[in-house]
Amino acid sequence: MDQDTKTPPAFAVEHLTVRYPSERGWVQAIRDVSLQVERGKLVGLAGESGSGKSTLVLAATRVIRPPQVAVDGQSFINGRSILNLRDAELRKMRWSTFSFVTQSAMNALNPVMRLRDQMRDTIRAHDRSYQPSVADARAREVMDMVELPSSKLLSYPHQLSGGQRQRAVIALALLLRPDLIVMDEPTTALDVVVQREIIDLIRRLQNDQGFAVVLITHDLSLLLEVAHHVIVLYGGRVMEAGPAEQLVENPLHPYSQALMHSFPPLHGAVSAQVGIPGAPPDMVSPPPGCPFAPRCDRVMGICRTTMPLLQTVGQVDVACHLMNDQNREVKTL
Amino acid sequence: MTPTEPLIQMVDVDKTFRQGHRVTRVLRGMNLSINPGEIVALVGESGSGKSTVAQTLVRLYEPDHGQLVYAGSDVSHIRGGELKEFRRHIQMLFQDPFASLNPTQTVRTILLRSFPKESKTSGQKALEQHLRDTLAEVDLSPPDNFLSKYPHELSGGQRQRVAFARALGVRPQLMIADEPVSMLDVSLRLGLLNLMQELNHSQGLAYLYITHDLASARYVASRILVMYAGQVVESGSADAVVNRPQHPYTQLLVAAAPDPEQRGKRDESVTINGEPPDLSQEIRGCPFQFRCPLVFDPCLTVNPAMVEVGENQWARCHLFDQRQKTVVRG
Ligand SMILES: Nc1ncnc2c1ncn2[C@@H]1O[C@H](COP(=O)(O)OP(=O)(O)O)[C@@H](O)[C@H]1O
Ligand SMILES: Nc1ncnc2c1ncn2[C@@H]1O[C@H](COP(=O)(O)OP(=O)(O)O)[C@@H](O)[C@H]1O
Ligand SMILES: [Mg+2]
Ligand SMILES: [Mg+2]
Repeated sequence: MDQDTKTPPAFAVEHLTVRYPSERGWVQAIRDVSLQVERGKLVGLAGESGSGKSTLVLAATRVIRPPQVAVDGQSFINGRSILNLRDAELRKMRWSTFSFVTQSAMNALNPVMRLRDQMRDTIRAHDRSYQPSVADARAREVMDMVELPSSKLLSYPHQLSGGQRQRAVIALALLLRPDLIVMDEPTTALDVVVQREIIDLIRRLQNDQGFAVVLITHDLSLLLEVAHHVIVLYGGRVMEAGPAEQLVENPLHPYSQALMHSFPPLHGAVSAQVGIPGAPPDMVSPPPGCPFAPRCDRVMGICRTTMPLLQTVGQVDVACHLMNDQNREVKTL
Repeated sequence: MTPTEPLIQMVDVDKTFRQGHRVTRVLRGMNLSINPGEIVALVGESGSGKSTVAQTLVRLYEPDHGQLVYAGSDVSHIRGGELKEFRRHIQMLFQDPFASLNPTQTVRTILLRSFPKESKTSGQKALEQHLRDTLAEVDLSPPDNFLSKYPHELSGGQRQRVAFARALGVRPQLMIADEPVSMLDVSLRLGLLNLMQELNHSQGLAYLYITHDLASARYVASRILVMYAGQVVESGSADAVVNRPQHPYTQLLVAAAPDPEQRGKRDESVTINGEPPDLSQEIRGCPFQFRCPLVFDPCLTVNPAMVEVGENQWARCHLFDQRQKTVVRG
């Protein structure tokens, strides 16, 4: 009873593990990751390249699937289990329940199709009572939402500037009113000024329409500025997850702390900063304990042998042996 | 050379590219000056001409008009041995270390090839020492772990350090670093920027650091030049340009930069309409007029001159002609 009345989160994964086969053995890209994205929230997925951000969302939405990868665990969108859905059901959910915006607009847009025709096709694939005039009206609506003139519906992708193309991809993602939009590095290829325009647009739309966003970016300062909630990945694991304010003001995991000191501030005093020496682990043979142990300046014996579990500290989940009471005392001794 | 004489200067440089009928005026009266041992950052959107400035500074391009002046002499059109000699003093570090390193050569070969001829006559032992010293300078240690590696066996950060070491091999006076960290992970960027600074302190190496990231420009450079449509539109101390930007374009760049400190504080978004101008078209007046929130009559007809707007801070904007006039009148 209680289960039924409670609205499920927009997106959730439980104990997700994803491995790629390779000549050198299994690449353990995602290792036992659990997370939740509440409805209407903007959740940021942060982490260095190779930490598993793309793999997580691609496997959880079955864009990549066996035999390309081996997947264990569960993934839910609006409470529906994705990994054992029939293909036809999954096709129905794509675009209408969740959609994607990727770094390269060219991947999402068909280069030889006018925007209008691509939008018509997307609507037709989902709507048995499809009528071109109704589809075109919706196409004009979404163009309006992303602040592109409707006349651009007659353009081919190459006739648009980089910023306009990214707006068109967002328009396409909005077309069937999804509850969740996954955005994988949506502004990485854009200049700062255009990036700011696109990010502001995404936040405005999200406010008005109420869909949830998973925003993947390696630009931590951007993420910390705009996300409600931030999940920090490293070596295929969640290191820390919590409200963005908490991460800005009081990061708990040594990796999050080091990341916070890895980019110079825009304003305020300039002081020497160090970044994080060393390199991320090889995911074919990740270290047995905490993946960050080899680069951590507060590493302890246990970190090299045992992976710490996520535990809740206030509003934040942290996977670090330092959070363990005993070790905290040791540290302060 | 007196200490106050600039190491290198671009004076009113124009550079135009022709492809079929298309004529693109990429540099339009570009001026810059770098003193010995100085770190200058060049900031601007893509397409503003930053890389063309870099290529002109190493004389991969010849200026169409204006001059490139090195240590007091005009090197705009030198050739042959003179050009070769000039290029020894200025080295480039590129964005993509993978593209700039030969994949079939080991780190040892890559570095040996970069050393000047003289060093090769100094004997095998001295050469080995020089190899090791060069790797140590870029914090790749122990050297034996790296000398026999191929570029693909190194991480992105390590590759960029090898490219750096190769550029250092000829003992340049100026390093032009064209977006050297934009392909590196956040955690590795500061390492390279710090390395640049260390070599600046220890060897007096000067830099032109090209970037679109104002925060890192302020971190590493003492002076920032902001470029728009082939010209410098604002210059000043790094602190002044970021904290007290005067040109409307610089203000826009600062406002658009990501900043966790601004969380929840930003009032309605910075709305900027339009995009940088098409450089293959004739531009009448100020090139920023099409996007400028403060545009007024003179901007439509006359490209403004650089005007001093603060202590050693300059901006190319008609707003300040006005102020100058009032100041003069008052
Ligand atoms: N198709 C693939 N085959 C083998 N390994 C892969 C493949 N795609 C990604 N990987 C590996 O999986 C890990 C996670 O990659 P990815 O999800 O792309 O990280 P991110 O998006 O955070 O940069 C990395 O170690 C990467 O090298
Ligand atoms: N060799 C070339 N031939 C023709 N056009 C060029 C050439 N190099 C650069 N351009 C043009 O000059 C402009 C500025 O380019 P560039 O100097 O690379 O700018 P930035 O480095 O600031 O992005 C761009 O519009 C680019 O297309
Ligand atoms: Mg990715
Ligand atoms: Mg460039």
